[in-house]
Amino acid sequence: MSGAWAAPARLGRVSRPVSSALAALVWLHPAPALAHGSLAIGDFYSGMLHPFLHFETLLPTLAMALWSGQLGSPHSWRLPLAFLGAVMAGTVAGILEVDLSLAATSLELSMLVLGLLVAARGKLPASLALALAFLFGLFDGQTSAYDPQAPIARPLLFIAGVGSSVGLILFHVVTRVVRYRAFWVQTGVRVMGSWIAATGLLVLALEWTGEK
Amino acid sequence: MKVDSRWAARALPVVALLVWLPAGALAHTAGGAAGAGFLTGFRHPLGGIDHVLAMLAVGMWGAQLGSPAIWALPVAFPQVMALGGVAAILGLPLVGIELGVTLSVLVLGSMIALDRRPPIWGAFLIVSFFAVFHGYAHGAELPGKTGAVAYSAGFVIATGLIHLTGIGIGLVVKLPHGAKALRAGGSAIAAAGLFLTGQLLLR
Repeated sequence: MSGAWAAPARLGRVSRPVSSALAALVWLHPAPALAHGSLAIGDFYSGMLHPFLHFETLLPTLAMALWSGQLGSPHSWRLPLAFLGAVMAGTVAGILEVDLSLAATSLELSMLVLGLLVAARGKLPASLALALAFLFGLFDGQTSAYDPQAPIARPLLFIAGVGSSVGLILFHVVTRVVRYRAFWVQTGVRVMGSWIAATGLLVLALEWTGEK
Repeated sequence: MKVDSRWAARALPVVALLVWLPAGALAHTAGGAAGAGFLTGFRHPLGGIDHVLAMLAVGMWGAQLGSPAIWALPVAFPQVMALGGVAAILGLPLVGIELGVTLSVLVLGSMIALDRRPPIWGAFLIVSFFAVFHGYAHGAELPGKTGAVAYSAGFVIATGLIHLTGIGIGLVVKLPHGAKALRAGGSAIAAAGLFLTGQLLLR
């Protein structure tokens, strides 16, 4: 483990019980979500819940985290931060109903690209990787804000909720991928990337034929 | 291959996430197609014995072949299978899909039973050839655009997990007499493949 990673790793050890409890709290939320709209769980928790509810937003985030972890420092903290910032910016845009997506397929495209990069352990020039992280984060955030059933009363709380969930996912996954260098763990990471890419590829084909 | 138990304990939350996700998605849309998608997709590869046996055989053969097949196949296989699925979605014609699937059980089982060891690209070509049929069969049954991501993720993950289960079974080769046990397992799969192919042809 390189020196640059020592601090986040230590942070990971200290905060694991706390962050695990938070994560468990998030996973226990599906029951209240059943009453989405009628039973208010508050905009912060609603925002926290959102990245977990839809594979469209969860899988690109997961792939982003896996890839950042594979690349190691300094990408392992730069890319997630860029992605997280973009997710929150995208959520703002989503709430303001500014359409940033290039197409309906932007999330599937990010699943395919990021998944293939993870499966191949691909490397890109730093600036291009950052640009990709930001672009895919925007797509992801914008979709997180979209929910016709539940109007958002307090947008700032919602954005903070989305940010904390996405931040938790990124932090948990990246620290683990960086720390566990065992061959079979790294192979498992590549397999997961391959699954995400395959899912993206199938849905891209489906969307493409649907548009015709 | 040594599995660190501390790591396994830390992986538990991830497993919990996987178990909880479908429930969450189901609850959110309250019976909508998007929520049911993951479970439907997840169950799909598990529903057909021919698919399950073929995927187990791919994993077992990979374990028998050892490195690099044991880890390269699980990474590469989903891509090839997805390409087969794309072919189905785009409506490209492919003949003998069912026959291809049952033959894959017979051929892959035989490879294990006979302990065939082609070079890695040869093994990849054989597995890829059959993967296209499997992907096509799944892709043809993809639902509409609603819930497509959840469905696709479900069936890709289920297929991958069967593959990994096959690798787990195949790791008996590390035990004394394990190589023989694995070949016997391969024979059983080949016999099932022969039966399924015959059943299909005589139908």
